[in-house]
Amino acid sequence: MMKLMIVDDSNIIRRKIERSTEVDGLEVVATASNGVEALEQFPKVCPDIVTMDLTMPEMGGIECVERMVEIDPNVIILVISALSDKATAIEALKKGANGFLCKPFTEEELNRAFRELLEEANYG
Amino acid sequence: MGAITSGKYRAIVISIALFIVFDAGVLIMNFYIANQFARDATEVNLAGRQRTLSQRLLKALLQTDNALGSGNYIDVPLNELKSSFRLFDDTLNAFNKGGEVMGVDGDPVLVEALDDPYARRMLTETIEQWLPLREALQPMLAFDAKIDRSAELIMTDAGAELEGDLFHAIMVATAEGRDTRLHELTNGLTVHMEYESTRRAARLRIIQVTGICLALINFFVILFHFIRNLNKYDAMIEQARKETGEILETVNEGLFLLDSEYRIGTQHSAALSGIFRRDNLGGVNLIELLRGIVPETTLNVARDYISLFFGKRVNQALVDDLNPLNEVEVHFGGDSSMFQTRYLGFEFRRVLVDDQLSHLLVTVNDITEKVALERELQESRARSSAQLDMLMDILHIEPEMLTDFLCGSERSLGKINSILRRPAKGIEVYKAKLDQIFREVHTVKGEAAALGLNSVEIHAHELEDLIAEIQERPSIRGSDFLPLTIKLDEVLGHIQSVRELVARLIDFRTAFDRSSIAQVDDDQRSAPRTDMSALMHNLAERIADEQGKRVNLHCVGLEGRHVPEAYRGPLKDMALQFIRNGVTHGIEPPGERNEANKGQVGRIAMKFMPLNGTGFEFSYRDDGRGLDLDLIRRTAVEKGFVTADQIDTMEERAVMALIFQRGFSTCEQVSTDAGRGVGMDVIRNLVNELNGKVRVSTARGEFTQFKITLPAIPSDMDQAA
Repeated sequence: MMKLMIVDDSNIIRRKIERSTEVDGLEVVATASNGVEALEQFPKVCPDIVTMDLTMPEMGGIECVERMVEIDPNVIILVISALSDKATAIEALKKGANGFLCKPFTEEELNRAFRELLEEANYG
Repeated sequence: MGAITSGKYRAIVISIALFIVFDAGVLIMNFYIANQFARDATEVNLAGRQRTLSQRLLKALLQTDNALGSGNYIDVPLNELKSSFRLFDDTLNAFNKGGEVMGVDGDPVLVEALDDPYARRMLTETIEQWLPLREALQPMLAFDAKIDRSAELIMTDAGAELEGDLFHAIMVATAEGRDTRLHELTNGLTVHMEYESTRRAARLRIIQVTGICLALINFFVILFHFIRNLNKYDAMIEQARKETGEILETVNEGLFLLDSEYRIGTQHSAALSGIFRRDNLGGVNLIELLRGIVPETTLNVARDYISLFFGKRVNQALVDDLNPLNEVEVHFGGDSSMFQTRYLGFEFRRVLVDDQLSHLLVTVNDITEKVALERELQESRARSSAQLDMLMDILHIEPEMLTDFLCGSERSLGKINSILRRPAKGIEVYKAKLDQIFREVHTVKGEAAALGLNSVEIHAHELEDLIAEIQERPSIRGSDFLPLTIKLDEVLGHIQSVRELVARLIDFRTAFDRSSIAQVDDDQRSAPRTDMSALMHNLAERIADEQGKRVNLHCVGLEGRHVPEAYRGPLKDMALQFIRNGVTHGIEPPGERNEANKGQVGRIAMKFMPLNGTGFEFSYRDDGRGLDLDLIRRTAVEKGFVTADQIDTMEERAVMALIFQRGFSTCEQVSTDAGRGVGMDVIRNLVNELNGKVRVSTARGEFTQFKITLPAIPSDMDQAA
């Protein structure tokens, strides 16, 4: 069972992701509303996959991605953010995120992204 | 190595190996043959010398004896005898057992014992013949021939003894034809050896020729095979090159490979040159190529983006949205007269060779037309459907979530407002404020997007853009925040309009619920009250739409408690009929109205009001083209309602009254809304039934008006109905 952690400062988005996750073998183990909270929980739950918002209070997504990859280089991070600035999202990928999903997203898009990442994790 | 021994090179490698083996064999054979020839030559020479020596020995023996007998010097023949003896004996010995002897040229040579049986036999007999002679010659060999003159020597004992020995030796040599026999034997040996040598030479020559022939055949096989294969591979390569060339010449896309240094590959599609307006793109750095035609910031982001593909972490399918070059505006030509703006779309795909990333395959398209079309479409869509979209958006959201969102957004916007009001100074503080505001707006935008509230999302996005634009300014002043305040107001206003829309929907729903309850209780004939106005508006709009007209309907007092129960049904029927006729016949198309300086939108007003207790008045008025009396006259005559004579004498009022005749229509085309000639007669019948009166007034090109007066209803009648 792969463990999923959801990081987003919007309650609505968190709920949406949580509800939409229909990929076999993926289980939501933690949610966090900002980078600081996420990093507190990260070592406790050791998630395999993380969905990461970029603009959050306390600590934004870019720094959080960098710190998570330092802790666990094998963690798979999917940035889920409204596409306001491509450079910021690319910065997150440079720091170690694996993919990007643009808000708003459909359930199908989200699940496809998860499958895409899991497949790569299994065979890559 | 594995690649060489298998596959297309295998046959060639094997052939070449065989060629080398044959060549080496011939070479070794040659070496052996050369050695053999040298040995044979030596042996034949030595055997020939034995033959000569056998005679010279006897000759020297006789000469010595002769010299001694005649008193001459004996040293020359005696030395001759000695050297011949030694040479003969040594050589015989060497032939028999092998060893070193003096060669014919004076140098020592190594001789092997003769091994072929015939030669061996001859040798044995030679030795048998030689041994007695050898024995008899011994004293001569031991004799020291220093004595000068034989005349003196013969006087001595030694001379006498020598003479005796000589005589004995001659006797032995000639006894039983030994000298002849020796000569025969040595001659036979020589001849035999010569024959053997010739035979061996012939045999070796055959082997040599065969080896060379094989090597040659092999060489030609290699040559043939190699050339054939080479031709085959050349043809294949040429075919592949041609196909690739054709593809690259034909495709409309710019296609090329990009290496990790951002260099364009040498093979690229012909279209690429057209897209970038320059030739010789092979080896050119893509980033340098784009420099100057796309903004510097985009260029930096593009470089980062491309470099992500050369790393291992990112998933190709999940970063397409971030491609900064998927729709990039480019400007060609520094000369302002030639300055041209185009849009290019780039696509990047990893090329894997043996699971290793070798290049990126890049596809470029000129998407200028597509972008223009998309923008046009977007604009028209946005124009036409903003309000409806908002309504539809709201209808799809769970009420709880929507309320959540509205409260949250208002809170966020309130927070922004207080951030804006907070006194601040200094660029750092300003920047911090902008960051905070951006975060709040971003959350609103994200949630609006998630809920599908596009209009709110767009407004929030515009606000975000504004913030980003201020953030990029080199210096920020307090006054820069002013546009933010205005924009914030706009967003807030929009959210409030959403709230109002929601409130109206709730009202509508409540009313709808109530009316459907009422409908169950009420008489089935009576229409739901709230439906009346909407029904009329819908009808007016639908007919106007179908006929390409625009109309604005204004109704007063047509519904609700002002209308007596008994009049509601007829009133509705009449109103709908008026609308149908009015839009079809009265209201002109927008173009026509424009020419008449009336404004494109036609106006229809309907009013129902009590007349000071004496009854009611229901009026209809439109600002259309008015009744065409001439047309009515013509139609009435054509359709046989009146005769041509009658019409000439009729008053205007009477002519107008013709429109209330059953089957009368001036419309040539029958549609769902007009033309069947039923309509105005329905109104007249209704008015008659209700004991009312109808009056028509019209002005050509200005208006048509109907006024219907209806009597007051006795209270018992009201109740009965």
